[in-house]
Amino acid sequence: MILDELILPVLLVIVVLVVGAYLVAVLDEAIAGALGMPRATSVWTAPLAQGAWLLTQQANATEAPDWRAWRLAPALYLALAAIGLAVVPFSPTLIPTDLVTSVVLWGSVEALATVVIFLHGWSANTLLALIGAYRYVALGLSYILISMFVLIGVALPAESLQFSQVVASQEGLWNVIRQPLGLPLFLIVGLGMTFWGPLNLADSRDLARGTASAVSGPPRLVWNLARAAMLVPSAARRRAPSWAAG
Amino acid sequence: MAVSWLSRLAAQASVPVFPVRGLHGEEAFYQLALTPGIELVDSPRHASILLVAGGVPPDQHDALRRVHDQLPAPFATLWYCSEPLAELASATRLDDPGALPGALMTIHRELMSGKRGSSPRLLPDEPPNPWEGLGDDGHGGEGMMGGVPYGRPMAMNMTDDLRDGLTLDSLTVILGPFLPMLPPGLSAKVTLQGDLIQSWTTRGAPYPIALESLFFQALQGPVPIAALERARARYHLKRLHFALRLAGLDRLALEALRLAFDSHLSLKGVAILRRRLMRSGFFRLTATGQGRLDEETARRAGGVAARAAGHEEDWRSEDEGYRQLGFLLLTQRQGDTAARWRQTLSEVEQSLQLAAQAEHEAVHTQRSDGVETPRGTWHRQWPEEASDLLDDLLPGLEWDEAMSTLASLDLAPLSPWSLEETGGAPITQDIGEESRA
Amino acid sequence: MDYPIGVDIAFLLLATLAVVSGWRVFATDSMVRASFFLLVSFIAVGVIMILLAAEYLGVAMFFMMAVEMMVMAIFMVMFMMNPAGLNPMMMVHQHKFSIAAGIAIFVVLAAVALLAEFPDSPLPADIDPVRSLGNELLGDSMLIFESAGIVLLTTMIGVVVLSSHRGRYGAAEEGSMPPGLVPGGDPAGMPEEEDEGGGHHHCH
Repeated sequence: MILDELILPVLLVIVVLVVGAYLVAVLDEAIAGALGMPRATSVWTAPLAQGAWLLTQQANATEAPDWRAWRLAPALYLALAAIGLAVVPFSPTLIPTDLVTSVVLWGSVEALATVVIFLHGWSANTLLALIGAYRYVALGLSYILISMFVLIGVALPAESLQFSQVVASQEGLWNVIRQPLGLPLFLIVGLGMTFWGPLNLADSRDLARGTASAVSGPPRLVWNLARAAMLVPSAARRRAPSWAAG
Repeated sequence: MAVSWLSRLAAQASVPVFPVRGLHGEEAFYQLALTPGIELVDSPRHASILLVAGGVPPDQHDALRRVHDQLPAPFATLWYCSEPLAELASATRLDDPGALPGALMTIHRELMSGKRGSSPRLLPDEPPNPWEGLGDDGHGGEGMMGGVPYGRPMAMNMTDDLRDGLTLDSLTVILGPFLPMLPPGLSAKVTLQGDLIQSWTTRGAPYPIALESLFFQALQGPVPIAALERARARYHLKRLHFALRLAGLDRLALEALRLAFDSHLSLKGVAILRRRLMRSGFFRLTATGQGRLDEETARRAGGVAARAAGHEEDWRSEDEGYRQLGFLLLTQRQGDTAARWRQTLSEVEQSLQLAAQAEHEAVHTQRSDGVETPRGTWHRQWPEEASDLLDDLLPGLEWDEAMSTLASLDLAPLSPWSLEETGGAPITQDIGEESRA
Repeated sequence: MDYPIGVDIAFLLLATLAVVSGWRVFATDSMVRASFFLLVSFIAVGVIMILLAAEYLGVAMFFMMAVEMMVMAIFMVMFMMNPAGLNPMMMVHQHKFSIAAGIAIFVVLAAVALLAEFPDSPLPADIDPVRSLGNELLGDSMLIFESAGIVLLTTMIGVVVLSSHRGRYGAAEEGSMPPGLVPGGDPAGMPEEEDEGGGHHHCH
């Protein structure tokens, strides 16, 4: 019983998280390469080499940071990604946690992510990270609002706050057709929440990488990993309907 | 065993380099941006090599030491065309631009394999500001005031607010001279509220920039207009590269830089770049109607900034050679960031057009008592350094607007040395060939 | 009652976390930290609610409190004379009064917990808590609830529009002056201009 209800789901989440994050990093490298960025190593080893380099590097300090929050924030962000992934229905029978209120739980993951990203920037006690943190709060609150409309839009036809029910409700008609705006909006929220690509405003270049500007070594590795991992549940959530009809 | 496996893997990573752009260090920065396997990072905390490109004035050595000590161990330094700090006498120095990428990769590999030790810390590991908080909680004995914890006084400014009427959370910091977003050498004392700039006081002017030697030759005698205009286009494209990189448009930034280093730089490439720029939203999102210069300030800023504000100021319209080519002075009206970039793009295109035409007819400049440098007119006196105009321009802007405004303005003074003399670009050989042809 | 021992252990741990982080709110020296300690405390209570099978209330607690504490932290930083909220500052004032108030409230709440008679009517095992909560909240008062919701949403949108860059009367950095009551008249609804020398000088 413990094996079925605790160990297997946790293992599943961890494996999907790590593999997914790696694939996100590979994809990112591949897109950069396709866009003409100069590159020397292959896309498959580049994320691993980068991770290894960060592991060999020292974690640095700033002047009087809030140590606990600074070190915890990347880990908490990763934990939020794991929670988000835990309620994704991979198949009709394979759902790590089929919570009755999983739609609301995903909403709170988004809200808590805002807090964690703000803390990551604020606790470093340096200017550029702080501005990145402020920037994300301003944006994050609007991402949450958009995301809420999308989530309400999928919960209403399903008459349930449970992702497995949401999927089941799409057997006749996919939500992509019923609510054509939902998918693009949700993808935008996903990119915004992980500040990826064109929506990288919290860790942007005009802030010397914003909230991440003051971290190095293993904490930075965890932060990068968490960002990539957070994209996985965002992407997986929308992929879910495709097997419902298939 | 596990560790050596890890470091072998780490040695394969692209080399993260934090460039400190010193006096005339720009060219190395552009060169490395195009080199595969080298990643120019934005924060010293993300680097394994500190590259000091170009000289650093002695009064800024302390700032350099602070940047040096921010790199996480293990890290190394490389001094390109620059004298290492006295404490780091044994550090690697290099003057050959061709050997730069190779040297950086070797240093990174040696660091990872343990063959090279980490650079020593130069400053004592203690807070830069002594703890001066009063009372039990550091914020002061009476009420909320008093005490200077972390060197930051409690905010007490009751001056008129620029935006939201809340004046109490202001944070004052000193930026520069090596902040990668600012022009190299520029330093300023800045008060911010959130990301809104409340006040900006320029403390140190940007380092002088070196022009290609053709601009100096134009003051001695006639030079081929084709080569001169190509040099001008290259200069502007490099500035555009910096602004696009800052805006997060890495692909377009590299495209601009590749054009700048392309010895067969043609109008077609720039037209494609312009089209992509329009589509990328650069003019709608980054270079918006911010940072508007009034008439007097625009005149002081000179060059592109002046023409973007409607001043018809261009030495080329005085020159008979250019008149022969039908040179038409271009201007914009708004004088803001977007107008400056539109003007820059138009001038690049115009330069290339002129170059093609001049090459065909082998036209040379006629007057040698002045030259239109990319930075402004050089006639009797140099274009003056104008970084103090930022003090009135930047307050009221948000951080991203301020940074894109700064990138669109070219305020640095001109160096008395040419790019070739300062250990310049490999591109110069091509110019020589073209001008002989 | 029939539940695994793990639930008891989890309850004790979470209750301790809630109390300790609640205490840290007043012992810490930063507005931002205080807000987020309060958030931790609320999250612990939210998980306890989930343990009590109030799944919707527990998860909604995470969601509401995360946004609320974030906004509260930002507002505190904006309104306090502390550079970006980074300097340390005392989070407690009027010590004697607060201690007395704290003890009084503790006594009242403890008395309620000890002396009140709690209802004891076990629910059927197959009840759907989310659905029954929805019926309880919205059954009779759907209209009021919905209209309040729409009013709040309009208010939010209005506030965002009024406070944005492009304010109601033009861009914020250009002054954003309301038009006059008569064509070309003075801006409407502006406070009377004070004489030179008044204004902010009294702060010295």
